[in-house]
Parts: sequence; structure tokens; C-alpha cells
Amino acid sequence: MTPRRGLFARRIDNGSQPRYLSPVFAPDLNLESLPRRRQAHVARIDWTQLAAPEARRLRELGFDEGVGVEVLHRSVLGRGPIACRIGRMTVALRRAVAAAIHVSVDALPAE
Amino acid sequence: MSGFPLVVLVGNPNAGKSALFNALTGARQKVGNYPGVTVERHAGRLVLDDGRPIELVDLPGAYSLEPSSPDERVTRDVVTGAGGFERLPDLLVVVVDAANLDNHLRFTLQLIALGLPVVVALNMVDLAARDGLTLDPAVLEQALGVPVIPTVAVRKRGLDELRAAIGAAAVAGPTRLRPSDGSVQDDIVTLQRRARGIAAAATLSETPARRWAHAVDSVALHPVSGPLLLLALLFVMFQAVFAWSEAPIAWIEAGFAAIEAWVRAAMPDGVIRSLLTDGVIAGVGAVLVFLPQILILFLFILVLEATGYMVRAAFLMDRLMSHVGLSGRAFIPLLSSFACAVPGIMATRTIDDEKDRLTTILIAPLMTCSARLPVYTIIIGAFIPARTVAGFMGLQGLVLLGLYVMGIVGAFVAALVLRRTVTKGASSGFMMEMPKYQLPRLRDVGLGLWQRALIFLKRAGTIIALTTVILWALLSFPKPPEGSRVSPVDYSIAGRIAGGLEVLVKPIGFNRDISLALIPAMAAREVAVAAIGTVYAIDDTEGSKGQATMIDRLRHRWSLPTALAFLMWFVFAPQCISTIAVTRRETNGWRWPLFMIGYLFTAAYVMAGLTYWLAVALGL
Repeated sequence: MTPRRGLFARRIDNGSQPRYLSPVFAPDLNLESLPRRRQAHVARIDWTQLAAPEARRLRELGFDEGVGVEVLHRSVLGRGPIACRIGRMTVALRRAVAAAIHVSVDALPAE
Repeated sequence: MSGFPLVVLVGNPNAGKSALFNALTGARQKVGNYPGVTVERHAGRLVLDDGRPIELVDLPGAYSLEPSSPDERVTRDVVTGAGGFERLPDLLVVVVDAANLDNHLRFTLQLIALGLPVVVALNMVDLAARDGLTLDPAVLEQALGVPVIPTVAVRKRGLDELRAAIGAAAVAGPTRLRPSDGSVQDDIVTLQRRARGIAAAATLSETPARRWAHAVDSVALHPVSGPLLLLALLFVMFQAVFAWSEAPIAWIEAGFAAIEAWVRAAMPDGVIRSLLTDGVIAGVGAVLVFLPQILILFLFILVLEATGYMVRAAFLMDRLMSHVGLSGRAFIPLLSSFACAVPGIMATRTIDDEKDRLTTILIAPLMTCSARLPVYTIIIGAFIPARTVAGFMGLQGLVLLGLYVMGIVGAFVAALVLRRTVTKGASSGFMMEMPKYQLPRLRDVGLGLWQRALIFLKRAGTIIALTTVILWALLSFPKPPEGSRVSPVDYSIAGRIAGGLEVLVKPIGFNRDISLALIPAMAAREVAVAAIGTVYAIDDTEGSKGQATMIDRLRHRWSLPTALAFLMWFVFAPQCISTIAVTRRETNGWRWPLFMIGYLFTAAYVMAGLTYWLAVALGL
């Protein structure tokens, strides 16, 4: 992953999560813990963790197994909502919802 | 109107429907409400090339036919002929964002399945190209089985073709829905997968999207620079509201002064002249002076919305709002409420969570709307000395800022309490599509402003003019007998009502003038100023008028604690008939507006009282 794309990208990425995860070592990565700007696909959505209207809106926004996702921004001090790309759309989600979306990370392009 | 074919524009939010609607109808549009709900109905006349007129209606954006907000319910009801808002449309023009086919085609498939004639407008093809997408409309046409017209609404490209397609498709007689076999709307996921398949087939080439929007977002949504940018924008916005409005306000005041002088010169002294000058002209003039401030505030809000920044602001505010049990979504209506609570409350219709929406409606009147400004301005001007504190801040400005902050703090405390009591429920989520950044179109912003101005002028021309006239009548009659030592105001009907009210508000430091002003101010806060003006105009036998005299009289008759209590009262008091009416309409009944009136008046009484007692105790 390129270390720095946004203005202050590096600082945001210094969260508790390690930045270079491979699917092998992180079988249970979800959208909440996915490092920023890391291309991934939705592996599984834990619908039982979501309220019915939330689940429906999530489906309407295009969340589904196999769809490409990427975390774009995390809000204030790492506890606010996150902004992610889903398909060609940018969507804001709260962390609890993001945690229900399990992802598998795409292979890194050769650099 | 009813005889023309009915064509509706329908599609996902952010598909560019309104821009397409504006481009097709121009200024020939009417903004109204759907019966029973406050969802705005935008309708316009479209004339086809062969001269046939078409009734075009712009429906609220929706993600599916399963509504989760009042907005989406209207859309569902219109396209399915339910609810009785409209007759069944003769044609659906489904607007899709070319750069987001994956998502928008799903709703399109759902709409096509209804069985009505459909034309698809493949909108914003230029932005899709900018994002590196090349699409084949012919493949889409074949897969969907309906005509697909590429358009760029904001550049008026493809409009002729779209008009022609509408003309060709909207000829048939009465339309009817395909009988539902239950399979149409049942599964979002299946439709979504089909949509993705079609989108992939229609996409000829796809290069990685240009990421300039992400570069903007990495500043706008950054944990540090994001909030700072938002704060700076809000600061500029409120500065502009005051700075830019000075000149136009002076023109309006001069205009009304000229009209009043002309009427005084042209008519003999008497009841009718008094009604015109002291009642109608003074009242309407006192209200029209806010038009510049309201329009400037709306200009900012419309531009922020059109650029796509508003959702970013909601994103930044979500964390803060979640502390009081609301979501970032509530930020947009609350910001609009700084201009006027009525459009603010109407904007809550995009909040899907019922409890969330209700809480936002209940606290919206606490945002300092522009109608409070004249009240604040005149009282601050009369009682707060114009000196600087701490070297650079004007004391008057500081007090005004304090009143704004008081409203915001009050709203947050109210939300916190409400969310734990009357609107208790699971904490609502925050899930929002973030639209692409776009340059706002002058024409669309201009149309939006024009519509706001019309709504405001109608309000000024009806409710406010009427109340000031009624107040004038109540204050002027009956006339005291010749030689009586009772003042004309005390002798009048209004004076007697105020006498009764005074008993109630005396403990919090209010005098007779205030009791008098509070009655008509129930209609609209700004009337309080006009009312005090009218009281003094009628009470005044010497005939000297104008604001300078009014400030003198205020200083003479009111103590400082009374003035401060009066300011604090207006931070909380729900004195606005329009707000109450829109709340009743939004919540479908009297229960919540009555609750709102009750809790806000209680807060106003207690807070004004505390202010008064504290100020007296401090010896102010």
C-alpha cells in the first residue's frame, strides 16, 4: 500500500490496527477495522447484528457479497462514522454497522 | 392541467433529477405541497416539439419502492397510483446517474416492473466520462427493454432527444399497472445483482476513476482540518448574513418610509390613514426587512447542498450529535432552521428514523431564526452599551453571539432529555450516500432562492399583515372618552387583555408593553417589534416616530433586567404560528405541536425568570 495519499493520511492510519494485513492472517477483518485505502471485497454481512431498517438501507445502498469496498475516511478521533466506497458510490456509515460487514482484502498490486 | 399527459421524473437521490426538471421546464414550474404531507411537489409544463403540452412532476428521490421516509412514500404512492396524490402517470422518466449504474439500475428495474411506459434518462454522462467510464446506451436499451437517452441536464445536452422520446412514449391512452404477481419488489438483492450484471455489460471501458474528489475529501473530512473548515464556513456564513444585508435592509427601510410619508401626505388624518400607516405599512415593512438576511442564509445553504458539501458536514457532525441521541442527518434541518424553522422542519422529512425525526422537529425552533434578529437587534441596541471588551470584541456582538449559543445549548439539552423520555428509543443510525462534488448551477440556486423568497413574501403578506391589522384594531378601540386621563392603549381591548396577562408575567420582570407585544407575537416573533412600535405610535400624542424615539422610549420604560429577561424569553418561546402549523402537518396531529408549545413556553418562563432574578440580584 502506498503510505501517503491524502494530506494527513499517515496520521489517521496509525490506529490500533496493523496496516499490512493479509487475508491469511486476518480471516475476520471487517469494514470497521479495514485499513484506510485498502481495496477489499465484502465477504459476508452479519444481518443479525443490524436493525431491520438499517439492513434494508444497507442493501439499497448496494452492500452485497462480492462487491468491492474501500475505507476512505474515518471521522473525528477514530470514533465517529466512516466514509467508504461501495461500488462507485461513497457512503457514510456508523462503526457498529461497519463492524457487521466482513471483508476480505484484495491481493496487493505488485509495486 | 388535468387533461395533459402526466409524466413524472423518478430516480435515486443524487441522480440529477431536479437539474433535469429545471432544464426541461425552465421557470414554468409550480412548487406546492402534496396534500396532507409537507413534501414539496414540483410541477411544471413541458411543451413538446409538436406543440403538445405535458404536465411534468419531479418526484422526491428514492432508493426503492419500499419507503423509509415520508419523501419516499410520496414517490411510491405516485408511481403506483396509491394515496390519491395524482392520477396514475402516463409515463415514467427514470433518471439514472451514468456513473453509478450498479445502484441506480436496481430501482430502474423495480420501476420498469410496474408496467407503466418508461423512458430512461442516462444522466450526467459527462461526469461518468470524467470518471473514466464509457457506456453503451444501446446495450442498456436492449437489456432494459425501454428507450435510453443519454443526457447532461446541467449542460442541456440530450434534451431534444429526451423530449422526442417522451412524445413518442406518452401517446397511449389510459395506462395501468401490471398486475402484481408478488415477485416484483420482493428481493432487493436479486434485483441488485441483475442490475450489476446489466451495468457491467453496458460498460465498454472503465479506467480507474480520477480521485480529485477524494483529495478534496481528505481535507474536508479530515479529523482536524474537516471540523475547522466547517467552522470557518459557518463563521463566514453568519458574517455574510449581517454584513451583506446592511445595504438592502437600508433600501427596504427607506422604501417603506417613503411610502408611509406619501400616504400621510395624500390622505386626510383619520382612522383609515392610521390603519394604513400604523398598521399595514409599519407591520409589513417591519417584516420585509429580514428578506435580505433570510435570502443570504438560504443562498449559503442552497450552495452547500448543491456542491455536495452538506452531507460532509453531516458526516462531521454525526459524532457530536450522537452524544445527544441524534444523528448527523439532523444537522442539515437544524442549520436551515437558523434561517427559518419552517423549511428546517420540512427538511426533516429525509430522516428515516421516526424518533430521530420527531426530536429534530421539537428542537428546531430553538435555533435562532432570522425572525428573532429584529427583536434582539433593537433590545441590544437600546440596552447593551456599544463598547469593546477584551480589546477587540464588541459587547453588543458578544451578547448576540451568546443568544445564538444559548439556543444551541438549549436545543442540545432538550434533545438529550427528550431522547431519554418522550422520544425514547434505540439510538438511530447514520447511513448516508455522499454525493459527488459538483459546481452549483447558478440557475438552480437562483430558482431555489426565488421560491424561498415567494414563500416568505406570501407569509409576510398574509399572516403578518393580518395580525398587525388586528393588533392595530385591538389597540385603537374603544377610544377613551374625551378628557379621560387613561392612555388610549390602556383603554383599548388589547390593553385590557394585556392587563390580565401582566399578572402572569410580572414575576419574571415583564411590564405592560411586553405583555401587549407578546399577544400578537404569537403569530410571528418579529411582530413583537412592530407591536411595541405600534403601541408607542398610538400611545404617543405628540406624533414623533421612528426607531430613534423607540429606543429612547425603551430605555425610559424598561429596566436592564427586564430587557435581558425579554431577550432570554425569545431564545425559547415558540412564538410562531407557521412553525406550529408545519409541526402539526409533519406529525399528523395536535399532540406534538402542543407538547412543543408547552415545553418551550415552560423553558422560556423559567429561563427568563432566572435571568431577571439573577440580574436584579447582581444589581444591574
